[in-house]
Amino acid sequence: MRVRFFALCTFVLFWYVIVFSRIVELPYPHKVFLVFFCLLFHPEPVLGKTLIEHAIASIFRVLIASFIAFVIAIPLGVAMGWFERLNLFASTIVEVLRPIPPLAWIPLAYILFSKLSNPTQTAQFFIVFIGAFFPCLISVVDAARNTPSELIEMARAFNANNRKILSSIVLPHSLQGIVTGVRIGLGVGWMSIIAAEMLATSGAGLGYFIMVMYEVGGRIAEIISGMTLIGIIGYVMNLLLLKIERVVMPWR
Amino acid sequence: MALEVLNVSKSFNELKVLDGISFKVKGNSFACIIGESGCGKTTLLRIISGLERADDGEVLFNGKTVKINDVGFVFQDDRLLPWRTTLKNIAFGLEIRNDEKALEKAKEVLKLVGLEEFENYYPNQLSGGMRQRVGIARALAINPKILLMDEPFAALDAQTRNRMQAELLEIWNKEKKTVLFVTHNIDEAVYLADKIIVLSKRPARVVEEIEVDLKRPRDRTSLEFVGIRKRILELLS
Repeated sequence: MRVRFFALCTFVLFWYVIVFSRIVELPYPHKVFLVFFCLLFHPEPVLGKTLIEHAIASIFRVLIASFIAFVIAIPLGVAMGWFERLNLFASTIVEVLRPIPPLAWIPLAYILFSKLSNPTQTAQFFIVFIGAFFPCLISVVDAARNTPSELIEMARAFNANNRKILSSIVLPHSLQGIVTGVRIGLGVGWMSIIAAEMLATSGAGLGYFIMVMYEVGGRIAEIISGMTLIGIIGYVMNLLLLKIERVVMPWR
Repeated sequence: MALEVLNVSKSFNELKVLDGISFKVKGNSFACIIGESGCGKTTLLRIISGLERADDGEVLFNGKTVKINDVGFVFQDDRLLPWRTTLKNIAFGLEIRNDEKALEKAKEVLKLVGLEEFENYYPNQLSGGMRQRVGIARALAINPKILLMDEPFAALDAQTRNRMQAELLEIWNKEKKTVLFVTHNIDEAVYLADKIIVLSKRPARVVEEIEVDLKRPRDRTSLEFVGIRKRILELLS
């Protein structure tokens, strides 16, 4: 804990040094903190929303789109880990799509969904989906494939059929990969939504907030406030999932 | 009542592993199979259990072909499921059989192996000896006719190993089963077995069947005990 406190102090000190040295134009940390706490609860005049409201809008988008991604990625991942031919088939497609960063999908997504009733929202869901889907899938496939053959053979010695082996050996063994996949997927989804929000009029969202603050004249304190909250939320999400991991896997 | 292995042969590709293995084990007696590492002992157990098919020959129990449901298997590496508690691990085989009283029956076996206090422990919280007891309990829980044990104590230290041998005999006394116990440890075989089947190097053949008529608990330093050890040692070299 003392090391963590020391690290934070170093960071802030470093920040002051940069401001004093005038290498770049940057507001003082204490000024940013003041703006940050103000914006948390008082609506910022240009968009008329508090930072919390922006954050909720972003979190909502990420949770919905990631949830859909996980619902598909987890069963598909376990199935790919179990059926070698399905893995060969699906991984061929996945390995081509996976290296394309979610951000590269943004222009295409906004065009693809432009005819829908809510094109911006749909495109953003899609981009988060892409961001969350692949890391989760890879993690689950990996875990399922790595089920020790000794355990499968043990189950066979107790006359388990394939369905039983899948449900009582492969699936629980994949749980680690599932939890890790959800954690990483949410992280990437969170990064993706911020970027996706920057490119279109979303009305609310932390990415959108930062972009508007830039466009109305480079309001650095507001921009850094938005970035700070993005960082905090990403950190808390990760921490929460690590805690959940310990609850769902008490044997670790 | 008896387990009969009749002329069992097995090759993997060109490599002949088992060459006409035949022996007979009396029902409810304790038999050890001994042979050098890599001589095909595990393959023989897998064939007896039905996990593997023999190229030739058959395995009978009371005159009928042995089915996989007749056997309980104990592995060298305990092969417990890390996400299951002791009790749930013991219940595994019963759950596979959709036994509604799985947990009840598992609890009884838990008592038999003396692990009541560790009912809710996960395998990584247990010692090596305890884990093997859970493995034995899991095999016993399905109430098999034959208990097949593949070097179950090989990974344990010498003291734990001796203690586990004594405990295994106690369990076997309460729960009479036909036991086929594979080992490459001569001392272990002489301590445990009513009958020792000595296998040759690969391709494995039965070199000799030795009846051990010593009273239990056996004294590992007695003249008769050492005499049998010596004879097996000569047969193996």
